[in-house]
Amino acid sequence: MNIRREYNSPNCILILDGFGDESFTSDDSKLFSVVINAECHFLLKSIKLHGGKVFLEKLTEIVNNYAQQLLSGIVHHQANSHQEERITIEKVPNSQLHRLTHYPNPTSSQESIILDLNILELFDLVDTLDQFLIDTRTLPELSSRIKPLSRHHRHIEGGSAAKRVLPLLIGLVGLVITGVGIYLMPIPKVHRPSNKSLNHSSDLIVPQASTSPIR
Amino acid sequence: MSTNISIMPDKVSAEALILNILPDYPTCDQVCLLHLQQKIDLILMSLEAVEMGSSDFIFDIAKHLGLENILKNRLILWRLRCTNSWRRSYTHETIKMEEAKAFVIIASYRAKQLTVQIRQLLLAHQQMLEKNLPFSTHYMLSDYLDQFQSYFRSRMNCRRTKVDWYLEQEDELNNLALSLLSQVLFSTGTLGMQRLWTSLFDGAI
Repeated sequence: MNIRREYNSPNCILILDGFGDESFTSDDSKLFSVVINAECHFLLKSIKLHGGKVFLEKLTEIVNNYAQQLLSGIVHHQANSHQEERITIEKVPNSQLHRLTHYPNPTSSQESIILDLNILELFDLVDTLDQFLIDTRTLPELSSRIKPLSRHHRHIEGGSAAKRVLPLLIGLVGLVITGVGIYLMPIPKVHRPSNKSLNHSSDLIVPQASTSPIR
Repeated sequence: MSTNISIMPDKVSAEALILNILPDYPTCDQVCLLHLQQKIDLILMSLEAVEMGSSDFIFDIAKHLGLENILKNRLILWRLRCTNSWRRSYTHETIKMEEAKAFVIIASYRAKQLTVQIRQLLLAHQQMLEKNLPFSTHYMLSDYLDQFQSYFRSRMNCRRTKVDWYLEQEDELNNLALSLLSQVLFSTGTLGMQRLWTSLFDGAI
């Protein structure tokens, strides 16, 4: 039996068409178990992204990771295989826009779709997908996967090993250069006082020992 | 006496029930804690700037959600917010996880109530950028930014390098205020509370 489920927010509508589990009688409680077509409409742009299950899985995963990246400031790497359809989101340089690109399966004749979303449109997309993810009646295998990144990612974010070692290397090179410079400097000659000058020691005023008692 | 005994377990269980909305993560290290304390204080400051008022909403919501045992009075609230290392009166104390959870729940709850204002401010920001107009030409946006700047200048320690950097560069301080506002917007969503909470532990587990 065909089922349609809709999730919406002010700027975005997600429409899912598929099949349900026959064991449930009421339309609302039917388990939506197989997705045939997923459409994501952006109301202000009059553009829709669409695809099947792979598209929906990719969209939810990429959008979820990007939302967490915006909140924490730590980059969540977008895992995409070149063989299948891909979705990417990245910040447009020198702007407050976020570029969502859908690359369809290389074997299909569809062209890539590029959407520049402002922060409100992006949030509406995240919220629409979250409404779908918490709905246990629709594709329960696709549930929310909000998890923090491990420490390993923070270290990666801190830069590559070469980048982190660079300050240490600069310091060491500086130390070596300074050492070589000091080594090459001539040793200063020590002028020892001659005996002649010692003979004039009588000219020096020698303080006489005080005879006053110390109290 | 007997009344007290019968009420307390209910209060405690209600509090635990609300705090359990957010998952427990293994204790984070000092870097993570400093970041968490700082972020919570800044998010609350952004909400205060949207409100254009005091931090009374924190107590009202804490009472409404049964979290008044964690945020008992203004002194405790002030002490907890001063765990932000950027503060003039930084206390060098460490926030407990249940206190951090209470703040995130309260911030998300209030953000949801202020969704319209937050969306209006971010829309105004977008429009000002598109029209290449200064932010000061939009009364709501300039009020928010002025309020945030005022809080930042009066509360943060200018001897801190990063704070001094923000104070020297007004544009960067405005960017911080707008970035925090975007994060507040994301906490208004269906899973916003969980998103905000989890983001505090990104790269720390």
